[in-house]
Amino acid sequence: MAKYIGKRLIYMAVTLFVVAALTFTLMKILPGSPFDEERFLRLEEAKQAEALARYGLDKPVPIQFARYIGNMLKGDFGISFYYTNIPVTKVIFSRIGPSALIGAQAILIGLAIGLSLGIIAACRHNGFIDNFTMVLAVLGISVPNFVAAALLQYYFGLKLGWLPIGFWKSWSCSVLPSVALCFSPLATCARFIRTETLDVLQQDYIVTARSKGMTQARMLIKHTLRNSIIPVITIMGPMVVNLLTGSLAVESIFSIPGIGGLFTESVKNNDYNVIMGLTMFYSLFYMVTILIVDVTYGLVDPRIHIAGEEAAE
Amino acid sequence: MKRTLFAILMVVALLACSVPAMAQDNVLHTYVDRVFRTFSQVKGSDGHLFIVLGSLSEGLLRLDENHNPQPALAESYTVSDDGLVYTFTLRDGITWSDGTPITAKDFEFSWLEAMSDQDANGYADVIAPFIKNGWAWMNHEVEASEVGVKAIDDKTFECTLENPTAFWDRFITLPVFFPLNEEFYRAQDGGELYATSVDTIMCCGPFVVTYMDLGVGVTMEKNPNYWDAENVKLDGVDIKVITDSSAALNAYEAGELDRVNLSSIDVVLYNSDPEFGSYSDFRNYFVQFDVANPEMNLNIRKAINYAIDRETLVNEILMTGAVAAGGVVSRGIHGNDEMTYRDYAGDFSYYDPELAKQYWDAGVAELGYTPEIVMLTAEGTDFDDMATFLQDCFRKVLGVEVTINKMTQKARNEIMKYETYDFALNAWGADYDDAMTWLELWINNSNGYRGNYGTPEYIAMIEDARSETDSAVRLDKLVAIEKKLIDEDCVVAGIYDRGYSYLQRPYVDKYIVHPVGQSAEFKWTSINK
Repeated sequence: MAKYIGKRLIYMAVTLFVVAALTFTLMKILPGSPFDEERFLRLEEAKQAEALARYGLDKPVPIQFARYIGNMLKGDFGISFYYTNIPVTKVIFSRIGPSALIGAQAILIGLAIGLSLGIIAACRHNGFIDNFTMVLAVLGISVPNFVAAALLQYYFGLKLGWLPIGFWKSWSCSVLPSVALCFSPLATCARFIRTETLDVLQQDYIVTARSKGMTQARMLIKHTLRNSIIPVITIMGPMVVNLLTGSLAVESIFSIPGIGGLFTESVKNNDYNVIMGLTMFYSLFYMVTILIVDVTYGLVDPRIHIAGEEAAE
Repeated sequence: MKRTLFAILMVVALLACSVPAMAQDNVLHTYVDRVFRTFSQVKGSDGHLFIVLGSLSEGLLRLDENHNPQPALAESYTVSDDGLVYTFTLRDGITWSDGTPITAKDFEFSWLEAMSDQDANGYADVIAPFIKNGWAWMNHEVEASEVGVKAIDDKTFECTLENPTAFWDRFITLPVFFPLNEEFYRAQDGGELYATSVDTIMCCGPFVVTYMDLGVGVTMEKNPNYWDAENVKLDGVDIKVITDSSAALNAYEAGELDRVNLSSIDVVLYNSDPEFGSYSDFRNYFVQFDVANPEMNLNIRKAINYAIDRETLVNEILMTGAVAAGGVVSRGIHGNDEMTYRDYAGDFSYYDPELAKQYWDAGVAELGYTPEIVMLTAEGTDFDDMATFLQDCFRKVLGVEVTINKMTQKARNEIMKYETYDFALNAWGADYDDAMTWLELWINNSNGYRGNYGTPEYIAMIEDARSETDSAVRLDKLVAIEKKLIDEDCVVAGIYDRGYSYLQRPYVDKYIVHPVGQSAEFKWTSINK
């Protein structure tokens, strides 16, 4: 197991390097510079060179890249151009908190309701709850989260005044955005768990368990859930990354200082160091999540061997 | 059926619920629509930053509600006969928020620091050309003692200009001219960390900061040590960052804001509301022609200038209080004591479909064929609505189908800089209340961004106006320059000056907006519930 994880970590480092190299190259192809062109053009050449040197942009791109990697290994991700002179790590970490909180809450709500609904729907196949769940699932997938966000803000924030309509002052501010974001994971979970549970319920061992007189609840928890949750774990990986790294639209609607808008802004403004910092952060986070998902498979289902040599035993 | 009825009833009940009243306090709640890039007066040049800095700090003079400069940290000043030397006398007993006295040294240091900023984000390049040896200091060619900013003693600050500058007293109300305490500033990692948190900024204005975050906003409370504290009516100001316009409107309706700007769509719904108002500021939107492009001959350019129906654009498409431009200089810009620049100069850009068609036919005859014209535009709603409207104008008036090429701003800038283009939509906001802030943009003949114009004749006219000491003669010269730029050479065609429509609570008084620089002023604002 340790050997397997070690190997995966080496792969991760290689992948990160490739991602860094690709992003760096693509980023440099972006038209324009991080500076305000109009003001920059007014400066005399020596002054322009001074500004370029200040941000390390005076050297050829390969040298810039080598320097960047070198500094990154030392934990220095450079300074932001757009957020004048603020270190990239500070820019990112000051914005990640709200996004992560909202994302985590959305996943928890989505999982809790989605799993429950999905399982109940499977047990009451073709009943009212089943149909209700499927309608909800279709809505959850097809209604964009910003529409849900705008509606929630209007009714629960403005008309009813139950919750803050936005901003980031107290925990209550995070409720509506979390709810707005939870529909997609909720719908996805419900659909997957329903289909899988239906499948598992047809299996011979379930019939056996039933015929032995096992109660419905015990059978669901002990035999069904564990077998049907595998695909949900698979989709959880990308979903967690997606939600924890912020949503541009929802954050903008609720005026939350999250990380969602930072990425698009940094690309628009050629804020090179922030683009790189965020890409590295996203990639690392994604790969770690995938690793955790893979390890979890083995824990949930002992039949799955994640490491090749263990399977051979 | 019963269920459907129940659902409908629920929705009606939800809609019928009333808005909760918000807490009563003597704090102004407002917002800005973009995140802050910095809170440092040395590194920033954004209008929304100036609102914050103008409340937290102060310069020698401050603009009153009629946009006229009034004594602030300086109680008086004198100007030499040649208009070059300004001598300011500071007030007695003015202090920073921590009690340290404010001296003339704080101004000398601040101005020098602002001009030597290396980030290319601040106002260094804007202010340096005005001050004697400022440009040379910016380029490390002279010693500090040779620059025209000098603390004569603790209470006397003298600045010497390169040329007489009629608008200098208005100009120095900008935050980049506010004082800085050298010792405190240097202690923040040599200035790099200045104003990155509440503890790393010193205030000397009507308010002091209690919370600041680039993405969340700023809260401030009244500064008891301010020299004019008795005239500050508010206990505090809360400035939020709200980037989504409908979210801002919801916040206003929920009672979380005292004032909100409206988008074009919302103007229709609210323009009969008693809380509705609108104004325009000094940001001019214009067509930039590439004069190096042989297809865009003078007649074609003139045809385009006269083919734009500006009144319809501002009244029926934009609707936010924008006004039809008469040229590239905004309408409200100072002219002389009697009238604005535009009233004095008259319009160079206006709608005349017949004239447009005449010029178009002449231009096409000159070329021998009908040119295929591409309009370059950048992403953003300001340009989007305008681009399709212009396309329609050209179709109706000139009978020509203009293609819209829309891309990111950076990408469009690259094309303008390095390639030949037909024309582009562009905008420029005034740095100061004078026509020169626009006219001097076109002096570089290799700047594709300015249409590769900058003829020696034009440069000579600009230089001549810059050194003119008689303000009446200077005004005539400025008018001649704009006439040359639009009427004779048709390098640009003015379209409109930006407008804002807003809703404001009836109990808010003196929420002052300035068309240039610090766009909102809260020193005299009061809440009278």
